[in-house]
Order: sequence, then structure tokens, then C-alpha cells
Amino acid sequence: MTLAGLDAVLTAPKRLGIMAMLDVAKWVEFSFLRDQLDVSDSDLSKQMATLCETGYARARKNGHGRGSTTWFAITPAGKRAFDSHVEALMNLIDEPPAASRRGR
Amino acid sequence: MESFQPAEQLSDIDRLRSETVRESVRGRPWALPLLAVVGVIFLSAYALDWAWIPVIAPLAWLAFVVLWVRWLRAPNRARPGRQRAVRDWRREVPVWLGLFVTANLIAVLGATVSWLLAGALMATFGAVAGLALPRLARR
Repeated sequence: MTLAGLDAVLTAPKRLGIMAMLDVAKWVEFSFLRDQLDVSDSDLSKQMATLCETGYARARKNGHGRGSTTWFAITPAGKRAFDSHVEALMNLIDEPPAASRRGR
Repeated sequence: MESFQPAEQLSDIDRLRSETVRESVRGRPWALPLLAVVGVIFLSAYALDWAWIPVIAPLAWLAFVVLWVRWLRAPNRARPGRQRAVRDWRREVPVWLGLFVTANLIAVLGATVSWLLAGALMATFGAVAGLALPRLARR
């Protein structure tokens, strides 16, 4: 099995899930990501901070105080990383298991 | 999404993408009935014998439409990712012209025959157009 193309940041399933959602939308709201991934606010904040620091996502805050909402979008770098990571995952599935290759 | 298995991760990716797209195009179930009711009220208001109606009613209608559109868009927790191309706008031009002409014909009918009838027609027209337009936009 080859790990070529897999992105270290996206090997975390939650971050991969976040990127999958950001990939098909222009902006996605914090609470939607949290509900879909079934994670806590603090957990999601941590994952989003990692993605924003890496440059894979960007954030925008609307409003102030209790009514404020935070929206996230994928960046071009994030899109490239996500696409190549998904392609690598597909290659992993397509490749025959190591045991069967040895048996040939 | 907790699995590290590639197959399960890809399946989760598909599910999350579908959910996000669904959320971005989700409509409001009460949007059309509300439009119909306010449309009837708007046109029926012209039957009132009050000099300020021709001034206030259009302003109130404009304010309602702005709020209604904001309400339609704002609660969606994901915004559609596909950018609108020029050909999308071009394809919609005849539709908007048709809507404009039909709405004005109904208004003319209301001014000459009955505002109540015009209200009912406008409500029906709004409901039909409201059902058809999102389907057209998704094509």
C-alpha cells in the first residue's frame, strides 16, 4: 500500500469530513459542521483552527455577541490538498492487499 | 466520521457532501403560503377607500419581498458552491420577463374588474412560479 498523496492534516477523519463539506459549498456555518460531524463546539473549534492555520480553510464572522455566526470556506490550497487526498484514498482501495500480492 | 478505513472514509465523504448540498438548496415550507397570504392582503388593500394606499402598499410590498428573500436565504447553514455563470442569468431572462408581464396583467385586471380576484390570481401565480423557479434554478 502506498501513502503517496495522503495529506497529514487530512488523515484526521474529522478534518477530512469538514473539508468534504466545505468542498461542495461556498460557505458553511459552524453549527452545521458541528451537527453533521456530531462533535462538540470546542472540538470543532480546534479542528477548524488547525485547518485555518494550515491555510486549507478560511473563516468569516457575521454579527456580534450571542447572535453571531461563524462561516467557513475552503481555500484553493485546501481544495488541491483535499482532491489529492481523496484520490490517494481511492488508490488505496483499488490496490490489492499486500498479502494477496505476496501470494502471487 | 471516525473511521480510518479508506472505503468508510470515502462513503462518509459522499454522505457529508450530499447533506451539505441538500442544506444549501433547502427551501422553507411556509414560504409559498406566506407569499400567497401577503399577496392577497396587498392587492385587497387597494379596495380600501384610503388615499394613501397607492403609496403605502407598494412600499410595504417591497419591504415584504426584501425580508421574504432574506428569510429564504439566511437560515440555510450552507451556501451553494456552484458559481452562477452568465448563461444561467441569460436563461432566466425570459422567465423574469414572463413573470413581470403576467403580474402586470393581473394588476390591470384587478384595477378594472376586482382586486379580490386579482389577489387570488396573484397568489396562485406566486405559488406556481415559486414552485417552478427553484426547479429551473437547479437544472
